Amino acid sequence: MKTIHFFLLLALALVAGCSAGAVGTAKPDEESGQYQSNIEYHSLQIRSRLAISDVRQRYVGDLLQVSVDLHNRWEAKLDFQYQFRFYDEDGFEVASDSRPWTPLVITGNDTATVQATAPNPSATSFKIIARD
Amino acid sequence: MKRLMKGMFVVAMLAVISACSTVEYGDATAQETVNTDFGSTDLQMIASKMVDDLLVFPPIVEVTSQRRPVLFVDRIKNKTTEHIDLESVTDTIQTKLINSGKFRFVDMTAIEQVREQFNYQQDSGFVDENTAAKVGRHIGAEYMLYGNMSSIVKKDGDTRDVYYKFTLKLMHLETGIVEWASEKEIRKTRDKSWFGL
Repeated sequence: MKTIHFFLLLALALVAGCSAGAVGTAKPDEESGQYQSNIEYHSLQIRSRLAISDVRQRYVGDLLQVSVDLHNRWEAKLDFQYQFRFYDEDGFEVASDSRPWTPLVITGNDTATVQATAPNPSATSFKIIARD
Repeated sequence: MKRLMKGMFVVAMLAVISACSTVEYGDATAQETVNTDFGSTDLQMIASKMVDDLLVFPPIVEVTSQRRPVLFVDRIKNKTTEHIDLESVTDTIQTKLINSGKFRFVDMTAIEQVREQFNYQQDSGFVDENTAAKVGRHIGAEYMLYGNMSSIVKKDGDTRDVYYKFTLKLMHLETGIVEWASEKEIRKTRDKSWFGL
């Protein structure tokens, strides 16, 4: 009986662990380890299939402009949404809700480049959020 | 017994129907795919693209690094077959541009209200003339934002394909030169399928 309870608890812990892992900053992997602070996955499937292969940033005048290469690691096409969010130097989100969730389809093993410009000069960093 | 069963059935049906009708608040920026008509996601994607493009266009960056030019928005021509509130699109673009700190706007849609307020301040006798706004000091717009939106709709059986193209231009009023232009294309396809087939 005790053994059954133990396995039940273990299964619950695993399920809870998986749910928590679906939201949050990605762990580094061999391809995109250095960009972990720039991407947040809101889906386990997207997390396993999508990676940032390159990030470019520059200032145009005093506005931060970013360009992100998103790579579909699987053979099948990936249909998902992304949203850029910009933050000031204190970590506050700049002009929250100002950018839409944008649909994007990447064919198998392909890379797509997405770009965004900060809403105003106070933005110093950014994050891209991906979900189903 | 039969009547009781009927009554219970009606109550059960009512419970099912009432359970189906719920109201929820949602994310206003979430992707909206109710049908292929122009929707909130299209509006937001167009506005973001136009503003992003304008803010980083090199000649515009040069101008806005020295001063905040004054713009006015002309109406956007709707060349689609749908009724679309394109003023809402230009409102969003205008809001984003003002909040970028790079541009200022004169609002031609409020000019009648401004005239009424001037008349009240100047002629009613209620307003201290030292504090009344002076007439003839409005700043003239340097640039005009204008454009159009067109669509191509194709249907074949249960498939409906809609292509939207939004074009926005910035004209220097004094010279008539179009200093900047940008386009956003959107394609939406709906396939009607039955039982997932």
